[in-house]
Amino acid sequence: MTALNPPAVAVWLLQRLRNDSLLGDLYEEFNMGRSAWWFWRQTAIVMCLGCYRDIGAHKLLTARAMLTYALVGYAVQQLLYVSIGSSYNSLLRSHPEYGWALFLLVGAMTPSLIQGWLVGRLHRRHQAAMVVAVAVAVLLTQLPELARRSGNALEDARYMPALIDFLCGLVVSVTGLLVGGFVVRPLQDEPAIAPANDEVR
Amino acid sequence: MLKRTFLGSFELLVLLAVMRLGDRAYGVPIAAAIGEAAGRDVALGSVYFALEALERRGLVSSSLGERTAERGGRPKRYFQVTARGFQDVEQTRVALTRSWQGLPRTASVTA
Repeated sequence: MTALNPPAVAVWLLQRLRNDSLLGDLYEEFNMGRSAWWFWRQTAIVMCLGCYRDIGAHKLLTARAMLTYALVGYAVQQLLYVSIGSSYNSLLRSHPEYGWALFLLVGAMTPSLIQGWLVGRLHRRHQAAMVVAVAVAVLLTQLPELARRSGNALEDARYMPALIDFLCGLVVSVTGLLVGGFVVRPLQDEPAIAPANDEVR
Repeated sequence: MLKRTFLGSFELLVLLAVMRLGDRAYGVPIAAAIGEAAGRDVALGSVYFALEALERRGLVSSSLGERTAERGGRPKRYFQVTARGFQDVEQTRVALTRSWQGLPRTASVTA
């Protein structure tokens, strides 16, 4: 029997949780006739439960991940300002039509990719949980500002472009963080439970 | 006197499924057995995380099995109930049986 392969992106995500036997079980069910939609649903459940479990069991590590994100963000901002600050401003003045794209690429995406990558790289043992925890923290800390801008936009339509800018920046930042964090190659799989029990039958 | 512990409902279902399956107790049949008993599909992730919590508490043990192409070359993880696990299941059974005694059936359930 030729083994079928489940959705590659879902498998890639599940590899971040480093539970080979669970992934094998999902493969087996998929090859018994389950749909791609079923596989994605199982992936979402596993990712949510796995991240929740890891964050709960490693609170200090989660705090360290958030601190890493904040410190790296500050460092990257300073570095970008010093290295390309004047060129960025010149380009903006000469080509204002590129302003939005430049802001998203330089101001939001690039720092987030770097921050996400470092969080993932420095917390490889619990990579998925730490990256997700930081992404959730970023979203939560931006909620008040989002609420304020939404309120302004609802009262006066002139504030709508500012709300859209903010939303785009937030989406790009969080996406960059997740991509940067998950692209880090996970550690070689270890048994999720005490290794002393492991023996091949 | 030994400390008495009682299992949550899902943990109990998981342990009973592992006991019922014996040597064949790994993720896929365990989830299927629980689904059959509960009358609805159970997510494999839920089963695995419950098993991991049970293993940390010393109620089950695990060992790696064979890898197959249908599993993407990944091994099976077989689970067995430990002596302490059997003890906790029995304590929970006794407690539940005593609690149910004298109570009428609450609703009809289609088997």
